[in-house]
Amino acid sequence: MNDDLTLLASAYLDGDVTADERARVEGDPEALAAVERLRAVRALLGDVEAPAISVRETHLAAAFDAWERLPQAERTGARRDQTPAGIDAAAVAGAASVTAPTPINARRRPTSTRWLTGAAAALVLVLAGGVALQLTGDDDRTDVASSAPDESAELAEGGGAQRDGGDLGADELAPASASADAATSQLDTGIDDPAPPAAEAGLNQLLSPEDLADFAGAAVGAPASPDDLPAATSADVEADLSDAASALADAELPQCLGVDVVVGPAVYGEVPVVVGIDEGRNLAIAYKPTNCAEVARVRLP
Amino acid sequence: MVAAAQGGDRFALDQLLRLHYDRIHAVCRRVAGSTKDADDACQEALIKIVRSLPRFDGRSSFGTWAYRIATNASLDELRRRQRRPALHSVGDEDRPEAVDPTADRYAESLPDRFVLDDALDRLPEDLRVAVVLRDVADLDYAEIAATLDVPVGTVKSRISRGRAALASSLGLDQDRGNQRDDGERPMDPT
Repeated sequence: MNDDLTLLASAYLDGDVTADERARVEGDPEALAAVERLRAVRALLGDVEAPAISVRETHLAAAFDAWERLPQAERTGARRDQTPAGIDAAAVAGAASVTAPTPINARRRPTSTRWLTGAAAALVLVLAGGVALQLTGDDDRTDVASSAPDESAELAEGGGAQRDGGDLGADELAPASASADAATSQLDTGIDDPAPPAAEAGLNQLLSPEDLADFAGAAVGAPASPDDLPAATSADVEADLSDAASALADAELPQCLGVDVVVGPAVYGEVPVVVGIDEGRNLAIAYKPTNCAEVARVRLP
Repeated sequence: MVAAAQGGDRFALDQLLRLHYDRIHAVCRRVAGSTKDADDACQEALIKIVRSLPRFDGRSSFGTWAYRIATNASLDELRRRQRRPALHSVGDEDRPEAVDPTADRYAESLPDRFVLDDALDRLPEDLRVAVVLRDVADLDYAEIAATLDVPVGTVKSRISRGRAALASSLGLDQDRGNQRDDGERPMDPT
């Protein structure tokens, strides 16, 4: 098959010949044979196996995902009129193969900085908890409870100063003088974590009846009334860590189940409770402040 | 439909992409070669198409424009593949034997596809793209010339040489019953 004949046969196959060329091909058996060979090639090339439906749908889903990530104005054609009228088709093709850079602000998720703020607040609380645990070895629980918020406040200040050097907007930063309360509030809005440990809320964590007995026993002879609960504990509870904890911080702790003395609020397991003492039966009782339901009881030593 | 899609009509865009999907995929398959590379190229092409749709000016048909993007995506994929280290180099002694002419039609079609893939793979890129745009994407000479930014005469020549080389590789220029009995590989058209 010589080149001229192939060129002619190929053009004939595509219908791109003059009348003379057409007559020449149709009068030449060798040219017609060449046309048939090229026609067979074309048929083979066009016989592409269809992709699996799952592949097709995956591709289309990816395309729609990309489309939905386009800025609204671009997606709806609002910017289309800004294309220069004389733009070259090749330039359009070039542009088609290049992803338009998305402004950095548009790429950033609106919630990302809030998440960072929450994470920073969480870090502050964890550090504060660590400091509080270290102090626990020497001090009694009341002292720890009163010192932890101060530490938190200091750490929150340090955290705020550190974040000033980052890329967070000023309106997203807690003030440098923010208290632990503010940090805690950001944590709640930024991260859907479980309620923080009771120690961070200033409440005593009771894990067993023995803890309950110890907690109540320590108060025997000097039981706490709702009005003379440690100030720091009250402040922490008022930090609004949870509705239940807030309820415990309210001015009146209910006196239920026949207790004679209310020792104070605590968390038994994961349940916010009020601990009271039934002096007549020498029992420490933990009960829910909301409905007086008993959670645990233990005989005092 | 194109205008509606450009205006943000998701349904129109869906219809538009589905209308052209098979041919876009076919272009990718023929240019990129392997199924996996073709799938990757096809997905990349579709993403580029939707991202660039707001800038599509309608000077060419949507299909021409889309197949051009698919071609570019396939060539990109091809170049990426060529940069990857080969795990195994297939020598002539490893190549599959000629198609068994007595096999049934389906079994015969699979080796034919391998042979076609192999023939396309050995075709120079400029010839392959020209032939695919003509015989798979069904673009005319002028559209191919605009796509490749070469004169129409060059397009005609590339298509002719590409088809002839493929015919030779596929044994179509011989009696089918005697194809490649000597095991000789066809000459590279270049």
